[in-house]
Amino acid sequence: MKSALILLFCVVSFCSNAQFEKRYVDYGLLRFQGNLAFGAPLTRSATNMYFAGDVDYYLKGNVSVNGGIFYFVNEYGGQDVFKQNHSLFAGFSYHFPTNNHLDPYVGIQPGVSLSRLNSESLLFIDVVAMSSFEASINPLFSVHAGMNFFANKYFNVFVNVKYQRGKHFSDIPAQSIEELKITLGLGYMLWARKGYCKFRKPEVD
Amino acid sequence: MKKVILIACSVLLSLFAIGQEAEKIKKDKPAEVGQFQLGMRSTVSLFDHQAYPGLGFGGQFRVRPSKHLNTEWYLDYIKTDISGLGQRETAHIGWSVMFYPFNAEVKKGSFTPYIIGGHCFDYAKVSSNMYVDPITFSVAQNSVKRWSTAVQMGLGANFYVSDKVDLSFSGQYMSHIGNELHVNVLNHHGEEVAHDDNGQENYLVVNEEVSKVLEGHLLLTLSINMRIADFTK
Repeated sequence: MKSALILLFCVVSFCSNAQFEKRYVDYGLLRFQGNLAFGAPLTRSATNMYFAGDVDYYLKGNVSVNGGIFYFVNEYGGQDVFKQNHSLFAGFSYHFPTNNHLDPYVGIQPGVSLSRLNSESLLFIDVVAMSSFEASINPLFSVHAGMNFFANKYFNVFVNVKYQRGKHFSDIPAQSIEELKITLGLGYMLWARKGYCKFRKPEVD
Repeated sequence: MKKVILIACSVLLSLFAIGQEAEKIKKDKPAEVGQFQLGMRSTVSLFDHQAYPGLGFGGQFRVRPSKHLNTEWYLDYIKTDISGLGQRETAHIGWSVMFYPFNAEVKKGSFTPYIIGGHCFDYAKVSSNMYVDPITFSVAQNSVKRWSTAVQMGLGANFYVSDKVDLSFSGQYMSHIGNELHVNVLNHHGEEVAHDDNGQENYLVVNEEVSKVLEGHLLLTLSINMRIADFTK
């Protein structure tokens, strides 16, 4: 978590030196990414790793609609509570106006998780004979904040922090899936407006 | 023959007049009429008769027949943790009418409060967790499900973050017209205890009872809606 915050600070410091006269972000921008993400469960000590991907389409008025997926890879440093802990989100972001290639934003995304407890976890040693450890679909609510830096017409660097709230339900007591997820890395983009789909930003609105 | 020509002329004139009127209505039509929105929602269910909060997700679409009137068609899926001893799954599929008594303008920065009311079909399933039956000493689980209908009413507001996207928050009280799913918490002797009793071997027994009162709960919904079409254009 600390290293992610340091990296975020570095990205912001780096980007703040790159001042441009005109805002790069505009409607019709389609941004997408596929990276590794890390999650810190808030009710127990562990680190989750995910393959994460999302798509963001910018509309007029500093708003974008977006969707994302987190595919659970593994849990480290904990009690291996989950065998599956995937999640899917869809929502919107508000992008704060800037005069450069930076793009800070906040947003809301309702979502669902597909989760399954790990019957081999020591946490369930007392109930292992009682549960069928079936996978279940569970509602999630999330808010997120982040920053994109559009480096050139193909690539952007980003960091996204997401807080999610929800519970995994099965036939034994519900387990919290409240978590802070951090994704950062390289993203890609193109411009998709009516009759226009290119990497280059359209010059005329 | 003259009669036929006269009738034909009068029909043509009427059609022309209707056409003119329709054109005038189309020109005067507020921009909000005919808008079609698609959205996602998160719902929190509070204050049911056992007072356990639930979290849900879902989606909706909205079709707006007039400037001050909107309709919402929605689907919700809510899960509620019952004291760590079981769960309630609820699905709502229904519609609501939204009436905007004050500001009804659709543009960036608009705040449009509304009165909302409607009807839904409701599916509910309450399941206990696995437990050891104190009589048979075998592992058991019980669950009951039912369909019912419900009516809901409340207040809400849209905030337009852009000309196309709004953020809506509403609070509605939903009353179910149907049997009640009742849960009892029992201890390891099979005796009923309070719901907040934290006994290690407590378990849940679920049954369906003919309701003497209207079972209800408060639904707080936060939704994001995007205009994707205009039926009148």
